[in-house]
Amino acid sequence: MSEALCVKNLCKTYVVNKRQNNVLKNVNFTIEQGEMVAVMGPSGSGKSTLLYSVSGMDRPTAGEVLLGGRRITDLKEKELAKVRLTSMGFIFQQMHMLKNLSIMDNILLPAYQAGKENRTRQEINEYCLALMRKLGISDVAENDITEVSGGQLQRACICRSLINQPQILFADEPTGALNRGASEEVMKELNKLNEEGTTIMLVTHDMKVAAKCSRVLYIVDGNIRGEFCMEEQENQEKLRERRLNNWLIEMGW
Amino acid sequence: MNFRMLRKDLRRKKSINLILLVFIFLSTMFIAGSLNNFAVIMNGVENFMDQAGVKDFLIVTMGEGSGELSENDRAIEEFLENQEQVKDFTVDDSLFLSENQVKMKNGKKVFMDSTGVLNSFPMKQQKFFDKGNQEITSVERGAIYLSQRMVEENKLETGDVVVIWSENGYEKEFQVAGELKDAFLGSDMMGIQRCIINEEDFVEMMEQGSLPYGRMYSISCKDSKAFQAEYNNQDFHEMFGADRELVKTTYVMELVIAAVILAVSLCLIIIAVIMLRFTIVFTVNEDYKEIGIMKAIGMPDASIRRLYMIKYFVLAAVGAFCGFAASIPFSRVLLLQVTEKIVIEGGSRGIFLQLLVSICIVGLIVLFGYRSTGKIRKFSPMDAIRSGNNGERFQKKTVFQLKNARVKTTTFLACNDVLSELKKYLVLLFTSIIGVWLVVMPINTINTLNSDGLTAWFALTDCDFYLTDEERVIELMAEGTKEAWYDFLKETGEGLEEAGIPVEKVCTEVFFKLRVRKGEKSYKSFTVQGLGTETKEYFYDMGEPPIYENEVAITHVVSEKIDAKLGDTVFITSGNQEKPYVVTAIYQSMNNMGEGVRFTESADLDYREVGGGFGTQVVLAREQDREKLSDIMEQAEELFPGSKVQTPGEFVNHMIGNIAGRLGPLKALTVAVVLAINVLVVVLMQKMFLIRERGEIGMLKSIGFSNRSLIGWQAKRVMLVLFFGIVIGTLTGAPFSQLTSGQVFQMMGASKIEFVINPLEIYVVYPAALFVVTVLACIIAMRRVKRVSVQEMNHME
Repeated sequence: MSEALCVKNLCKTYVVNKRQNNVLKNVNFTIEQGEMVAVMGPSGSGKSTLLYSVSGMDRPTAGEVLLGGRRITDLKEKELAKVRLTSMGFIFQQMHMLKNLSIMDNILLPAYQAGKENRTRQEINEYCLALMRKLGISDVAENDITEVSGGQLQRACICRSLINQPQILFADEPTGALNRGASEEVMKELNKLNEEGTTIMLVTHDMKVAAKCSRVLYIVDGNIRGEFCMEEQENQEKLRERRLNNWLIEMGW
Repeated sequence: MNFRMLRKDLRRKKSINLILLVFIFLSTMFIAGSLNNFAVIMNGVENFMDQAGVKDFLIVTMGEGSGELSENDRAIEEFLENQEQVKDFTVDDSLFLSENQVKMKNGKKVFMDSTGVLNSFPMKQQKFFDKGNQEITSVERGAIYLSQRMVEENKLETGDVVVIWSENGYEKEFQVAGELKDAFLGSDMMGIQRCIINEEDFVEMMEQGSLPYGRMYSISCKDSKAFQAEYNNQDFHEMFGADRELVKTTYVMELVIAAVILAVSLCLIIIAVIMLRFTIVFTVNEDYKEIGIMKAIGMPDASIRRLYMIKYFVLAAVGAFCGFAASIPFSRVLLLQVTEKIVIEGGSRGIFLQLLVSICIVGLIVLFGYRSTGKIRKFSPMDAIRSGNNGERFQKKTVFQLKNARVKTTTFLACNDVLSELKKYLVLLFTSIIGVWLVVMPINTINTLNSDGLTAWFALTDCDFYLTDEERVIELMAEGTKEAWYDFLKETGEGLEEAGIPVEKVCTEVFFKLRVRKGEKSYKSFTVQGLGTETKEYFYDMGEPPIYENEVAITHVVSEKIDAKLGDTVFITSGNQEKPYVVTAIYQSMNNMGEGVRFTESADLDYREVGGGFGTQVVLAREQDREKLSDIMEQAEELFPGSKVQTPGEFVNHMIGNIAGRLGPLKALTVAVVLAINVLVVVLMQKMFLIRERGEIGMLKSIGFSNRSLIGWQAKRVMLVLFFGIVIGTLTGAPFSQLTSGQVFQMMGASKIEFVINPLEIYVVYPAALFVVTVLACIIAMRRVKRVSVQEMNHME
C-alpha cells in the first residue's frame, strides 16, 4: 500500500497580540492509500488547524506535507490552487455554496474550472449526475441551495468534493451541522466512497463518526498523543464504538 | 457601556467604517461644492451686474468730431429728460479707438478685433474689477486698464507700455495697470471693448481732439420694457442701445462653460446620493449579525438602535466636516473656469451654503441610518442574524445554468452574479452612464464649435477663408456708400488674382441696426445685406429665399418679437424712410442672440447707417487650391498685411470668444473628475464586496480557484456592468448634450442644433479610456483577494 499523505514535523504558530501561540508542535503521521482516518481531540487542540495545514488550505510554519509523494508545503499559491482543484476534495462543517447557482452548478463548478484536459463537458455532466444519483440528490439538481435540506446540501458538498476524482478527501466535522438522520446518511456515503478506494481524512468530535473510520488519531495541545486502529474483524458497529470509547477515556477524552 | 461598544466597533470593523467615512467625505465634498457652484453660476451674471452697478438701459453713441455734442446726442438727451419712464440717467464721455491706434512701445500692433472705447476713471456708469475680482478704486496718471480680451490676445502683462496715437501725430504712452472685468462691455460677444485711464489723461486726450468722440448713457427706468418700446420708436443712431437683460445674454458663451460645470455638479450630486444610500444600506446589513446577537441577549430595540444611530452620527459628522473643508477648494477649482470674465460672488455666503449642505448631509445620513435600522423592531434575533433575510425566497436566484454555458467559469459566475443581483451593481451602472455623459458633452460642444459648419448657425455662407480688416471697415462706414463696399470687394479680388490666387467669389455681409415694425409692434433688429452673395446661398427653416428688393427673410426671434409670419408685410426704417417688405422665409441665427433680418442684395438701404461688416469671404476658383489652403492663406496674409486671415471655423470661434479653446481645459478637468469618480466608486464598491464576499472567496479558494481566477471573476463583473453603462451612456450622450449645452445654443437663437460628433472620439477613444482605467483600478483593488484565506469561509452567510 502506498502513502497518500505523509506529514513530517509539522508546526503551526500564530502570533496574537505579540504573543506566540504554537498550535501544532512537530506533528508526524502518515495516511495510506484507501485509509479512512479520523482526527479527534478536545476543543482548541489543533484538529482543524492540522486539517487545513495538511490540505494546503493554510501554510504551516515549519515541516513538510507530501501528498501522493509530492511536497506541497513549498508550492506557490497558484500551484497549490491547482492541487486543491485536481488532487483533493474538501468537505466543511457548514455547507458553503454559492447562493446564485443551482445545486448541480455548484457541484460542476470545480470540474469546469479545472478545464477539459481529460473529460468533455458532456462527460463531466454525466459524471456529476451519476454522483448525485449515487448520493441520492439527483432529484434536486436544478434546485436553489435554499430549497434543499441540510443533509441534501452536505451530500451536494460531497459530490462537489468528488467531481474532480481527487486522490484524497478532507472533511472538517462533516456531520457537525446535521441532525442525526442526516449524519448517518452522510457517513454511509463516506464509508461507501472509502470502500471504493477514496482516501479520507476527517476531523470530528463525534465518536460514532470516528468509529466508522479505520484509524483514529488523538491530538492534544498540538501533538498527536495516540493512535487507535480498528481491527479488520471489528465490523460490528457497537463493538467498534465501545472499544474506541475505552481508548478515548484512556487518552483523557 | 454604549461608548465602549462604539469604540470597539469602530476599531474592529475598520475597513467598512473607513469606507463609509470615505463615501460620506466624498459625497459631502461633491454635493456641497456642486450646490455652491450651482447657486453661484445661476446668479453669477446678475450678481456681477449688480456689483458693477449696471443700470436698466444702456446707449452708446459715436459722433464725428471731438468733444462736441452731435445732433443725435442732443436729441437722445432731450428724449431722456422728457421720458416719463426714466427715473434718472448718467452720461459719460468716450473716445473711440480703431485697432491701429494702439501699439506697443516697440511699434508692434496691439490686436483688438473690435472697436475700442476709452473712458475716464471713475465712471458714472459703473464700477470695474481687476483680475483678482477686487474693485478698482483708482487709476494713476499714465496708467491704463485694458480689456481682458486685449490682454489675453496680445499676451500683455502689468507694467508693459502701450502707445495710443492718432493720425495727426499725437502719441501718448500708458503703462498697463492690469486687465478689466467690465460688466457692460466685457463679454466676447460685445462688439466694443473698453480701456480706462485717469481722468486728467482722458481730458488731455479729448482736448487734443483727434479721436472720435461719443457718449455712454446709463438709464434707470421705472419700467424698462415700456421705455424700450418708446426708445425703439425713435430714430436715434447708436452703436449700442439695449436693456440690461440683453447685456446679460451676451454672456451666454460663459454659460456654455457654466452649463458644463452645472452638468458636472448635478451629476456629482446624483452619484453622491446614490453612493451614500448604497453604502449605508450595505453597512447596516453588515451590522445585522451583531444586532441579532444583541437582541438574543435581551437588549431592547431602542437601545440597539440608539447605539447604531450614535455610530452613524459620529461617522457622518466627521466625514461631513472633512467633506465641507474639501468642498471649498473643490468648488473654487471648478469656478475658476467661469471667473475669467465675470466676478463670481463667493465669500461667506458660499461657505455658509456649503456648511448648511454639510449639516443637511449629516441629517440625511442619520435619516438613512434611522430608516435602515428601523426594520430591527420587526425582526426576530434569527432574522437579524440572517442579515435581514428570513430564508424564504419566492423567486429563483439562478438565472443561467453552468451546464449549458459555453464560457469560462469565471465569466459565467460574473454574468450570473450581475443578473441575479442587479440592484447591487446599479450604483456602478449609473456612475458609468453619467460619467460618459459628462465626457461626451464638452467634447460634442467643442467639436461643434470648432466645425466649419458653425458658420451656417451664424447665418453666414460657406467660403474657403475670411479676410478681416477692422480699420478698412471703419473707413468704409465713414464713406457711407454701397459703392465703396463693392469697390473694396473688387480690389480684394483683383489683389488675390494678381498674386496668382484665382477666386470664384469675394463677398461680405454688411450689418445695420434698423427698426422693424408690424402693426403696433416694432423692434430694433440686427439686419444684414450680403454683397456679392445671393440670398439662396443661406439656409432657411421655412419659406423661400427673398429674391426681390421688397422681400426679406427674418429669424425666429424677430418673428416672435413682432409677431410676423411668412407672407406678412413688415415695415423697416432705413435712412429715415419706412418701406414695406414681404417676409418670404424664416431662418435661425446665433448672431445677436438670434435676431436678424436678411435683405436681398438689391434692397436699397442707407449705407450711412452701417453698423459694421463681417469679414470678407473668399471662395477659391480652383479645387486644387483648396488642398493647399494653408499656403494660400499665408500668401493672403502677406498680400493684405492689415488683415487677419482665418478659416470659417476660426472666424466664428473668434467671434464668440474662442469658447472652444476655453472649453479645452474644462474637458480635461471633466475627464479627470469622471475617471477619478469611476475609479473611486469601483475601488470602494469592490472593497465592500470583498468584505461581504470573503466567505465565497474563501470557499472558491478551497475548491481550487486561483487568485488570478478570483480576480478575473470580480473584474469581469465590473467589466460587464461598465460595458453596459458605457454603451448606454454613449448612445444617450447626444440627447444629454442637447439637454445641457444645446440649451445655451438655443438661448443664442439656434432653434435646431445638430451636434458634430467625432465617432472615433465619442464611440471609441473616451469610452475605451474610461473602461480600461476603471477596470485596471478594479484589478488593482482586487489584489487584496490574495489576503483572503480559506478560513474566511466561516464568514459566509
